[in-house]
Amino acid sequence: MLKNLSSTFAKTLNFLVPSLVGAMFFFAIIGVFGLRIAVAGLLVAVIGAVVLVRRVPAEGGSR
Amino acid sequence: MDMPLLCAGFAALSVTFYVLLDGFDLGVGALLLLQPHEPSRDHMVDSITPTWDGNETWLIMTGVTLLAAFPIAYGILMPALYIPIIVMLLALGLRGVSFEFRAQMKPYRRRWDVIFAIGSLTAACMQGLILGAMIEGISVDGVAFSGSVFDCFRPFPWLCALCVLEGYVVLGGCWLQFKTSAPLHGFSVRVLRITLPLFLLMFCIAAGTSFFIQPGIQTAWQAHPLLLGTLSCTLLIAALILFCCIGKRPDIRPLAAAMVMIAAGIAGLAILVFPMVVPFRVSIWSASSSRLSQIFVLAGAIVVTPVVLGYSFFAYWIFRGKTPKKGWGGGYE
Amino acid sequence: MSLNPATLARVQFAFTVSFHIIFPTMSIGLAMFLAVIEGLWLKTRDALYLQIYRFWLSIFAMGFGVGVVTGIVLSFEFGLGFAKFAQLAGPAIGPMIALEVLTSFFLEAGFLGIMLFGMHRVGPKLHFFATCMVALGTLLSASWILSANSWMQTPDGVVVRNGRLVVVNWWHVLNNPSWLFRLPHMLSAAYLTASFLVAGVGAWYLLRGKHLAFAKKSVALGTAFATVLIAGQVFIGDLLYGKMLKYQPPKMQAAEGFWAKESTSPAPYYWVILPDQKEQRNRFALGIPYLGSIWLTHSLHGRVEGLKNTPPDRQPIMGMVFYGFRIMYGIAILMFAVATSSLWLRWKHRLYTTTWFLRFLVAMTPSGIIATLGGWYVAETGRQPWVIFGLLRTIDAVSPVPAQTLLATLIAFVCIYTLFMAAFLFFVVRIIRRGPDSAPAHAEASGSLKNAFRPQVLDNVNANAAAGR
Repeated sequence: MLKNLSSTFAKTLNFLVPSLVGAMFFFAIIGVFGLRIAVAGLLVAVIGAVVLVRRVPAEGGSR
Repeated sequence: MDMPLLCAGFAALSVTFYVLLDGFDLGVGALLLLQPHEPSRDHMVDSITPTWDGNETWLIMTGVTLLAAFPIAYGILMPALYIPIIVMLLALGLRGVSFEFRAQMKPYRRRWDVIFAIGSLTAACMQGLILGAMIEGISVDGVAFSGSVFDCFRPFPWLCALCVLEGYVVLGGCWLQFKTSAPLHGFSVRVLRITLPLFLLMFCIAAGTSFFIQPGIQTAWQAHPLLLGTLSCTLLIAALILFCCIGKRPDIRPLAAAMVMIAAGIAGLAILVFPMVVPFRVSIWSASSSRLSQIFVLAGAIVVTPVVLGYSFFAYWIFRGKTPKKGWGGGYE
Repeated sequence: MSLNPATLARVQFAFTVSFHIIFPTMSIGLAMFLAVIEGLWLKTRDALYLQIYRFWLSIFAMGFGVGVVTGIVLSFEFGLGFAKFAQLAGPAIGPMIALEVLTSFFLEAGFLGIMLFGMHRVGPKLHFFATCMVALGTLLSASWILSANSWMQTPDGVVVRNGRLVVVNWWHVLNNPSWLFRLPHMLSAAYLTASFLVAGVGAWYLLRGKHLAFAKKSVALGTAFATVLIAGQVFIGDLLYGKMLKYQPPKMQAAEGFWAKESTSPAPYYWVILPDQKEQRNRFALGIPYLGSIWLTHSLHGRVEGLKNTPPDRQPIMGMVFYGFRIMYGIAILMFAVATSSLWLRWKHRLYTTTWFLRFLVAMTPSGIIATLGGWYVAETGRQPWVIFGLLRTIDAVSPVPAQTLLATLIAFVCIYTLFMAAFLFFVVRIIRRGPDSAPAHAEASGSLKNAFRPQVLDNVNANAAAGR
């Protein structure tokens, strides 16, 4: 969905998105938003990671 | 059921296994210094390669049993024997490292052989020193050690150090006769002809001296004259049989005789110090931890000991027969 | 460092136990990793898994060996350096330590030989069983030791009678308040250590363009495990933090670098401090504003408890606890970053080709070990001045051994342990240099029965026996 943007902007986004999402999960899991969100965050993170690892090939198609 | 007695029995058993099994390893290691011919040294090391490190299991079992079952004694003996115990532990560790390095670095093999030998010799001497220091007496004030860490370096403990070293060398020599063929066979025979009388001489001197420096021993002899007398005779007869069997077939006889001899010695020592776990000051009952603690230890010991013994027996059985001259094969890349 | 027997005894114990913990951490982690890998091999019959197994088997064997040797020293050192502690605590934790030793021997006698050397001598299912039993055995051993250490941190189940400790409730001794939180924390630390070791070696090969299949699989597996594990680890870590705040407040007060009974509001999260224990203040402190309140009080303006809440004669040394904690926590954050990056790069199909990430992985190879050490420093220095929290002070537990003797043996330990470490690194580097293709089918350790199970060796043995010599 990225239109014709300069590569710097793309790279910045490539850095910011995982960083912010990761930070959000980190804060959640260590309990900043309470125990329930921590457990929820942990479960989403773990299940999401497992699904990703199993489904998505780590390089363009081949292993 | 007298838990302290059972735990003490287990600890004594542990020590006995250790001495009989690690004794000949340490003896063979020390003998490396007397063997200038490199292929023969390799052959000597090959004879103990399959089984040497498993034998230290029993040393640890003894230490840990002391901690769990007789913590008062543990807390007195450790600081009292601080220096010899640490030197022994480091020597044993050094043996392990030099064993590995020796195999992997062929050009430096001679140097590692020397280090392995010195480690074995030092460990043996320290064990004797510990024994002698315990017999001579450890200063105790209440439940604390009250002497100096250098107390154990008196003449009598040094005598015991040499005696134990010699005893291990005898065991080592017997093992070599059992496991090797000419020319090492001849070497082991020559070694035994000299070291066995030497050991007996030192043993008699040590036993005699102990009578005078440790009144507890006199008391023990007066209390169990028949038992101790029988054990002493067993020891001397075994030594005699050993002497007659040197160099003769079947090769297992010297080793068997030597083990009986040493076992008799240990049994005698046990009777002499009983029931003091810190001879001759603290009894097993005063040094004990709680009953349940001892039950835990014994339960674990009952489960684990047969497995370890079974596995060890299996190991020795697999490597039965003479050690092949070219070693156990499988060179290192 | 003064020539004070108590200090020297502590330094000596700290040195030997720090050195020791490196190896069981690796052993516990690698044993589980090997069990998983062998399971994958049996399931998929992909030879690559077998190659990975063999490669790490040798390293595991060596680490296990060094762990055993250094562990032997420790079983005596309780008494050597801290005789009064051994006498007092023996009834309570002696059995647990004994059981740890016995469990190790049980597994070593029974299964380690088969695991290390029995690959062609026993069927694949029995071999896999042996590997699993070894992984289980290391886990059980760790449980016992952690129970013993946790009892020292949060003692329970004992009363003091006539100067001796009497156990009144064994279950409370074993299952003391912190045990079941510290155990999964330590186990995860071990598994994370293995994950980063594996991923790091894989990344190293990828950067050099060698052993590509092995390297890619290693990076994939290592990062996948690390991701799941670090999420769990920081979760458990936070729960454990809460526990220790309740049962051992001085430790957590020291860990955050605040002195005042109540910090400012909002509180920063300190990363660098220069604490002055005598004057009970920081001469210098650098931190991220607001983050202290957010992370430590879960609010924007909460105040954090400082170390002055504890009387000075019961305070641990802030510098040690603080930096131990920051090292552990800082590495945890880096691990979390690796995890996030790995997932993102997977999504973009660029996991094996992103150079900065591979370099990051190589740098993070020993991260698990360093973080584990940091964590243990928090645990042990944070408990000071107690050796059994609230029951026995460390200085009252020291053995009656003079300072010079302690110093001499400390130097001896440092020298000989350096030799052990040199030996270990020598062999590991050699294995890594040679690469997975040359990984022998059986571990290389030369001394002991385990060596005997190598096929060439056993064939010689059988020929020997048959010749009837």
